[in-house]
Amino acid sequence: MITDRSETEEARKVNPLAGKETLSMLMGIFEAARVVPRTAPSLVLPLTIISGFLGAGKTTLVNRLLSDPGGRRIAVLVNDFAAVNIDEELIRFQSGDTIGLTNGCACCSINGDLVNAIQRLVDRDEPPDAVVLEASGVADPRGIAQVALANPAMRLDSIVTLVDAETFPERLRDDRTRSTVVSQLTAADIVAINKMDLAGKRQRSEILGLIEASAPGRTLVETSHSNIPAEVVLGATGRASSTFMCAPADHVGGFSSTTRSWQHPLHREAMLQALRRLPPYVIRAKGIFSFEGEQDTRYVYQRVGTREYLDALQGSSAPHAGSELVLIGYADHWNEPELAALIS
Amino acid sequence: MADMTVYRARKVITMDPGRPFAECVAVRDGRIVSTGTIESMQPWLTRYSHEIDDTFAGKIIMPGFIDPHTHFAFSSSYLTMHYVGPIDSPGPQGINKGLLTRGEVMAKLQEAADSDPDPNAPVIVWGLDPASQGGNLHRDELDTIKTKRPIWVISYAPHFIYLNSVALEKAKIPDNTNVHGVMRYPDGRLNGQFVELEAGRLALGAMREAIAVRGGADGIKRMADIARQAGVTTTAEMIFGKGNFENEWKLYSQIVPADDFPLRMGLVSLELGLHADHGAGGADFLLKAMKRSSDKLFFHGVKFLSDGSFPAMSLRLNFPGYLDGSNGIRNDIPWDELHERMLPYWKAGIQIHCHANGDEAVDATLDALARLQKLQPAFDHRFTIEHYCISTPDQARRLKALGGCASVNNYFVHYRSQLHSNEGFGPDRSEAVARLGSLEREGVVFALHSDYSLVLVPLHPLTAAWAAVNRVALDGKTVMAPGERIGVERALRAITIDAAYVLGADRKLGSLEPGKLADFTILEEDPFEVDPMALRDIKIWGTVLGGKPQPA
Ligand SMILES: [Zn+2]
Repeated sequence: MITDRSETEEARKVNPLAGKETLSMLMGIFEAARVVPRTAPSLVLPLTIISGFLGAGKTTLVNRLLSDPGGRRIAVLVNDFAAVNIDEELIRFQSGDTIGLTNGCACCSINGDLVNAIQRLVDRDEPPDAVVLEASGVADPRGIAQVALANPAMRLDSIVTLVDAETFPERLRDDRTRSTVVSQLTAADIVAINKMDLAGKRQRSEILGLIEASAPGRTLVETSHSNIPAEVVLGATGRASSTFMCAPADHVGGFSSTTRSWQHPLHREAMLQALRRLPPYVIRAKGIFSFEGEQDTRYVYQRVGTREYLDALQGSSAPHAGSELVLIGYADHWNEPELAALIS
Repeated sequence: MADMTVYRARKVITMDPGRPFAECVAVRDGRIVSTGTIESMQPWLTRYSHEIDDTFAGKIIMPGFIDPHTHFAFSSSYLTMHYVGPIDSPGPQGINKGLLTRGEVMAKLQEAADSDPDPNAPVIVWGLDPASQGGNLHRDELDTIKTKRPIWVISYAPHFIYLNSVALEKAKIPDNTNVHGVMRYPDGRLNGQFVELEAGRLALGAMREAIAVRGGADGIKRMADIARQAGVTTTAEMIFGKGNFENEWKLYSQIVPADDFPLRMGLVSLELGLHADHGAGGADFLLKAMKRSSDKLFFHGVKFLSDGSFPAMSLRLNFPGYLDGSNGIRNDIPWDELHERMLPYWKAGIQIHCHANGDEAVDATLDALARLQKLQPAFDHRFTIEHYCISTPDQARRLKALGGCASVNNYFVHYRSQLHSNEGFGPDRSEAVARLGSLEREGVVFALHSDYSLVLVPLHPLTAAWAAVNRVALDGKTVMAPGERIGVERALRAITIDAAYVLGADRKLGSLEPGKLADFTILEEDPFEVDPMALRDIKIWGTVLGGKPQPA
């Protein structure tokens, strides 16, 4: 057979790493077929995936979440798959609930272990409030996300991708790292840019431009030392929304929040439409809603970037007409009157 | 009904070296009373009522074959997974050639669909690269593949999943779904494409379900049938309790003890699982769990891992390493902590099995054993190195000195050694994979195993024995490292009495002696008489388990 040369050239562009990720994902799904119970889950745990290239600050962020989880019980799953990832040593000594993923059975890859680790969390007498998964620095986070989501008891809350402002432009230019870095950006709901404090004005706009070109429309958070509060990474809990409000609003990495509450049931479509029009400086929205005509059910609402989740609240027995909404966003552009006009 | 059944055969091979051959076996209450001739058994026959059974009159009776390292609970799906990617990719059967055109992809899909006659078996294919192989697949195109089976195609990078109509039906996607990434034809009909996470979750969820319904109890029974047809009467699940210990126990304890389940099964618990659940109390927990054991289903030992896999080329090598300068993966527990994690089990007298495929991992495993011996010397501990694929003669000698055993996957000599000569391990190590001759020379007790269904070799102990005796490569003529061949008798020991030994079950299993459980493999020909190259072709009538015949 005569092979069309252009086709072979094209085929050579395929990144063998991507194939490994796909295989590994499939192994994980096969393992899930074995260990995940086939009955409907009795609870749903929110999953946050921390992505980002090697050295982007994932471990620092994970450490921050562990030391200040904002009143939640979080379980952190750390991927030590890559031999280059020495970060796991750092995390191991934190007091929080950290589970180092291993190669498990050598025959069935890290993703088999992830499936088992998640099932163990779900089976716990006291499951955590949130699960944080640190993805490999050299992988597209979608593969591991898909494996985690093979458990029906998991709900993807968000993918947070960290970017190191200093090295990012180079990583994007380098043929060997570009496709990984771009896949991490396009997978993200929130892109957190580290070391922006060190970048000059021109660099800053170059970096923002590069991110916008690779992955348009992502919610961007500028920070340094991965200093992003748990409320931004994991969403608001009812009680902890004030802990970060003291962050100076004029400082890069400062965040603001606002809370609305209603005593009367809300109009479902009007509220959802309003939430979909939230300005881009709002990073997260979390609500507990009672809707007109559905007084017996309360709903939980989560929004990260464009990812939206609405479901009946489990175990809400007592009818309660009250609704509450917490918005968290970027202090620099925070516009209280605009929000007040949108959500009334 | 008579007290005893006397099975007459053309020949009985007892694997008791002191009384190696007989003409009949007498069985009472599922156990062996006597082996010998009708005449020699007279003292028994005059005292107990008996019937003589000539079902095996023209056949050979051997002790039931034992495969001491299997994984029945694992999904066998990935062994039947097919590849359509644009570049060469190593798989369980060797290198999958890259496909260049859409035509080749479609032909491969049809071949995959035809590979299993079961209309419910999912077809799982991965590797499509839309950019170089003619764009995205879609439902109507996939439906041109003639099959009743549901088809899932996963793209080369984990971004796109394509389903045919049968698979779409299984996925039960509501027509009005608004999940992002569930794609449609212009007329609104689902086109079978699922893009990105949320949509992918729906498509892969249906795939997981399709695999799950074929796994669990049904899957284990299917595998047990494969084992029975290969003459196997006992296997050992080498990774037990990886997910949820009690759920897995529930599954096995419902299936295995049943009269119609054709095997005995040992359960070897994964230390990682015990450690996650019980921390330092893992050994105590396992000792208690062992009280649940019966002759049919028994807890035995604990499993550790030290490196990666042979076919996946992730095992760990000493200098000069892999051909491409890389090396494999270490596993889980840092090597210098391995003995600490093993110590509680060692002290409790629980037999330790440690996975080690490459020579660097074998060294690490031997180091751990040496440290255990220093901390608390022991005889008859039967510490077993699992797989023992790439090793050196000095390691066999050291293993003997430390009192350990080996359970070897030697199928690779035939199925993969030539392949890895050029790919991965280089010619020297590939030729000498599974050094059974060295183990025999040093006096190490060893067994042969398949690791089924984690690696793509058959579960067929006569094939393992055949490979051990002949070491003939896949080309059918090259003999790989002839000095590592062993004789027929030793090879048969490694699938019977010595396999029972590494499972700590040689008091009850592995040979035909008075008092042992009456487990037989019934062969149509005598393995000592056939041409050694025909060992694997010997027809297997079936087995006898606890005195009960089970035709294949
Ligand atoms: Zn195994």
